[in-house]
Amino acid sequence: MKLNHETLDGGIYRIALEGPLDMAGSAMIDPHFAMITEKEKRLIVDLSGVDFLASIGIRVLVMAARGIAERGGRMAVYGAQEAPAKVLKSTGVDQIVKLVDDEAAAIAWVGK
Amino acid sequence: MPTDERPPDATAGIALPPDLASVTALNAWFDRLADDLGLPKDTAHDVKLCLNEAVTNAIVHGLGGVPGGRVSVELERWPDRTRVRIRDTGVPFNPLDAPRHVPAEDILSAKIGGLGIAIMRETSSSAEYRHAEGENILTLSFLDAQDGPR
Repeated sequence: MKLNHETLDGGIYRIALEGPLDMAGSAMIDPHFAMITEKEKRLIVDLSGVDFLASIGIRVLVMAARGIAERGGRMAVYGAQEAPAKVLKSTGVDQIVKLVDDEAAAIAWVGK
Repeated sequence: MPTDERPPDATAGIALPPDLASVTALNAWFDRLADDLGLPKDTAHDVKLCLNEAVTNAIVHGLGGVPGGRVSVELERWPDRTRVRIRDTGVPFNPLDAPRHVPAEDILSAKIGGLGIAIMRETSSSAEYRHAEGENILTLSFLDAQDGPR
């Protein structure tokens, strides 16, 4: 699991993930997400490199989204591959973590 | 699932210690096996997802700190279905008894737990649990999609 990050114009923090969000992958990204949700108010997460998403990975995303929302911020995830998108939808997580198709939509939504 | 059974066309298994590296090992094993068996893509994903949920739960909840604890996975394959058994020597726990996960309405009321069990229930065609000889034994079956991707 690889995690890349950058700050975009407008102070939007972008994280791009690559690899499986299984138990080990989730453990790897968890500290970074925990730190970011204390610091940032506008976070977008590029999931296009995530080829596998288990509930332990969903947990990291949900906790980040909740932490940011509690601080009055916004988080969106985008670019989900077919199988991860299906898991996000079938669990109803797409109703509580904003899931959009692409980066432009994510930027537009968190920037509001 | 029918109880009159033809023997499976293929079987495979793996035993894992209860640590962080084990799910990575599980997935490497499964990806190779799915390829060798020619599992349909949807089936392979569904089985892999459920194995991750079951094994992760066993390691995190059932086996935490128990010396000598083990998780093992057995897979059986027939022409149109797959059955997996996940056994662990951890705390007796029946995931099928857990209350149904109710999706939250908004992010602020989201509860984090129970998602893995919900995924297993919804993704598998059938699920059974028993406890025997000191092991939790969870059996999940998966019917291949009959007419294209589900």
